[in-house]
Amino acid sequence: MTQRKVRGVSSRISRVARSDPWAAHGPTRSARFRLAAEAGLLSQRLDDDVLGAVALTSGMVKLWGKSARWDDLRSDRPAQQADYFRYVDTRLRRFEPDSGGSSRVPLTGARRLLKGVLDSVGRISTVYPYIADDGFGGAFAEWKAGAQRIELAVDDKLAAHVSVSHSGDTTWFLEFDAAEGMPFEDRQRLRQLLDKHSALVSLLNPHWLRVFVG
Amino acid sequence: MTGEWHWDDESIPSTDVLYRHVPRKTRLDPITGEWSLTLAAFTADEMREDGWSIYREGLMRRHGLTISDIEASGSAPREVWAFEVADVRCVHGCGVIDQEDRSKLPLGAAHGLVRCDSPRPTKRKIAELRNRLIDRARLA
Repeated sequence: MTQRKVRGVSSRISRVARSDPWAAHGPTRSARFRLAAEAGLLSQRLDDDVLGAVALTSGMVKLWGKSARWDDLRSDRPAQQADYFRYVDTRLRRFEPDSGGSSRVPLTGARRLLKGVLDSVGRISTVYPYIADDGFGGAFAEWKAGAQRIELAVDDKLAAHVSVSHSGDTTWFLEFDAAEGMPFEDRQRLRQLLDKHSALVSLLNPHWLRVFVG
Repeated sequence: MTGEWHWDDESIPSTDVLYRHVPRKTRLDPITGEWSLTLAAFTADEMREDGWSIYREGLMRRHGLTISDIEASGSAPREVWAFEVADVRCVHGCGVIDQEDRSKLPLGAAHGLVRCDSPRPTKRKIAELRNRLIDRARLA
């Protein structure tokens, strides 16, 4: 991200800060979160680099001067630890016919293959995707944060695809045989994208786990 | 499927609003806190059957129909999402046609389809259109 872009973003954040109804009474958690979200969205529009978002968020906190307590944001960590693999397994079982969500019933078809791909690209701390059936015998997982959207799907014919978009523009599309798994280099690419996605979401919303409860 | 494949009607203005009635499978963005549509709203299977079903505002106005008529038309939990004809056309080879659904009159009079220039579009083309519409669609 260039210095000019950073200045532009800082200026925008300052405007948001000044217009914030809570500003006159000092920073509140909701105000800080709103600014963090704004910074995240702007940084995603300008640059896909998580480090850019970190710099912007730090700058945002400085705007609040002495009253801004970075430790407050850091202490907003979720009490519950993320377990990506367990979440993926549990979610997919919900769509397995006649299993009642039981872990003793093995996953079948598109759900089994989707789990294989999801397991190969995630880490235990990976931010959870939205997982559902597509209504036609396939299953899919989606990550979304601000302007970026990542879609991974296996259809009823067990053909898989990954699609990545930014503000609606498709930036990466790949079809592959779900039974054979994703090619190594593409798997690495997706894993890196998910690492960035997870770092950004965890930074801007330490409570992200709550989104997936239930 | 017989005859010529109609996939875009140029007489439909690009500024017209399209309403899509989809199963309530929305996702909460963990950063913005906004709800948005998912792949389930725009599946490849439905596109390859006949196109994505929509209701066009210009026709709804002509027939005295409102969004509540769409909301009342389904039994399962569903939501109405809106986007513009221009959002479809900005993806090369994608368009909108009117196609009355006589099984759902009077609402069916405003029915149309989002289509691609081929009856069997590639997954890539479908994904491009889906990515665009998910980004642009707003809860009506």
